[in-house]
Amino acid sequence: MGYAVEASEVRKRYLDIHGKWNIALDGMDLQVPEGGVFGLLGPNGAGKTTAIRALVGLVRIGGGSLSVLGEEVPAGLTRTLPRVGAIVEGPAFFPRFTVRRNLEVLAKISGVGRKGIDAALERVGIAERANSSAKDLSLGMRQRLAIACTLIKDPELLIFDEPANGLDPEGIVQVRELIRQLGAEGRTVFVSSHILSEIRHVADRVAILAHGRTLASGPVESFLVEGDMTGLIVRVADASRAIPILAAEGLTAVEIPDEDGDSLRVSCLPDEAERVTRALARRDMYVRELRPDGSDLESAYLRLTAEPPPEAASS
Amino acid sequence: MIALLRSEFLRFRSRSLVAGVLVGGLLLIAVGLVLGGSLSRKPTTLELTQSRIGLAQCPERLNSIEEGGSGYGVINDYVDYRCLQDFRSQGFAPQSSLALAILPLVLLGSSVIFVAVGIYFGASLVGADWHHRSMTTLLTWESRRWRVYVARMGTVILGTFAIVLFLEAIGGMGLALTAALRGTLFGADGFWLRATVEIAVRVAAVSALAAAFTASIAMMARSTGAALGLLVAYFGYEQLMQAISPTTNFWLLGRSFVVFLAGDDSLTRELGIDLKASVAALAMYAGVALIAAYIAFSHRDVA
Repeated sequence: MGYAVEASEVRKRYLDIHGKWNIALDGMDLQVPEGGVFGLLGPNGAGKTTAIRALVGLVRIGGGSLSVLGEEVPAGLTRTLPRVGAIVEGPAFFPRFTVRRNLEVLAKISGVGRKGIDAALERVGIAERANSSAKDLSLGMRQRLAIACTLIKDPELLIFDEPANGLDPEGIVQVRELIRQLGAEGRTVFVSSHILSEIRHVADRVAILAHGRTLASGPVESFLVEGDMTGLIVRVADASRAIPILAAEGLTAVEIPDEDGDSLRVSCLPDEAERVTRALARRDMYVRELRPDGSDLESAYLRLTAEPPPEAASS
Repeated sequence: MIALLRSEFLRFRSRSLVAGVLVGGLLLIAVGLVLGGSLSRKPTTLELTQSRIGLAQCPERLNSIEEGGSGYGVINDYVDYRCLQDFRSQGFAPQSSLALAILPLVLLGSSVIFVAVGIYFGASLVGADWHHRSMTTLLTWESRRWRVYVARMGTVILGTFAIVLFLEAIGGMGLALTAALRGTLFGADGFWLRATVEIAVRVAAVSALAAAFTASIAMMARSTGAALGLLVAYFGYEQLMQAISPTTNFWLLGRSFVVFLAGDDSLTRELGIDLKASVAALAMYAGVALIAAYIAFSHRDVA
């Protein structure tokens, strides 16, 4: 499998005004396969934006290695950037320029003509606002303009930093749909967000970043089904009767006191759900509900990101 | 690089600040010419004769009272230049007639406005990019920062120079037309044209240099306000230095600006800086500012 982005042991720290080093990236590892949508998930301050800045050469990394589309960063950026479209920390352009003029200024750098600009505007659905001043656009429209700016290069890799930030529900759905389409076209879309639902809705693969480190990475399904599997939650008519039945089958179960007294937590692997239901059914105890315990993206995310940050090094 | 320069020029001419200065400048010129033309009348033959006599006597009078300065090695040029400067005050032109010959004086007088335009252009055309974070966007298109820097600074400096020169040319042509219709073209000879062009270029160059200074500061501070504030603070400091040590001021930026702008050796003697020293000081300051800005731009992270 080819990788659009590869990061190994990437480190970056900043010196603040008090002379203290703040660690932004603390050995981040990342492998973003070519094609599809990759989500970088992490709480605010996790290092997502620093990672994106490093990918496009806005910041220089202090250690480790970084490559984009097969080229080392920053050495190969001259060859890479024409193939990369990036929005770093939200839309950024001249507010007093029209939508079209903002695109023209960038298009001239790549020698893209009017047709390319029109196509990008059509693609993001703001062609009718081409002559509006950028400052008059809603946040959602501005986000779409920023995406249009990235599309005029017809890039292989798109990098969007918090694309749903500040959008209303309709805007979120529109941007989400656009990201899905871009990923389905065979482009690689790298999306960072601290909003779990955003990543879950658009991404094929996800990495969870916290305190500048990659805590987990893999297909979204692996988080939803087995990623953090620790057991099953089973709801039955009489939990206290079910415990010895399961024990006879070699399964450890405990009653969950805060779930109305009828629920059990059974320690087992996901593919043992059938064994649980069969054991209970044989003793005329039928399962009312069965679901994985701590096996969704939220649980993984919350558990992984809840770890305390490492000590910041002082100068 | 050409594509990047095209992009930068498009950005430059799209800025409302540039359009505002052009429109405002043209309006001011139009209002000034209409007012000047309405208050002027064609001189009489007698008035023109008196002017000719006065101007003819000027070099002789000047030669008797002072020597040429070092900035103008050829004494005749120097004397002609002083006569031109004294054109109105010495009564070489009829007081009630608009004379094209005063154009160099008008250009020198309006240089403060042009330099102010240069100062603001430099600060804003660079600082706004950092304020709106469009520099971040630009750097995701072109990673070679030296190219971005050269294109940006080149555009700001050349753009300021061109706009100031354009406004001066429009003003000059407007004054020529108004003087031909409602005043006099007396005194506007070959030397006058050479001196006028020289002064116009000097004013444009000083404005562009001012833009280079504030653009450099804005690039380092990443802020329009900081660039303007630092420049104001510097001129305050310069005033203080002049008050403390009036004789050691060859290195002061403001004085060098004035001497270079005027190219006038009488002023040179008065301020204690000769023209060559002022050019050297300005070149040194501009060089240091531009190099420091480049180092800051190329080495600092864009956060």
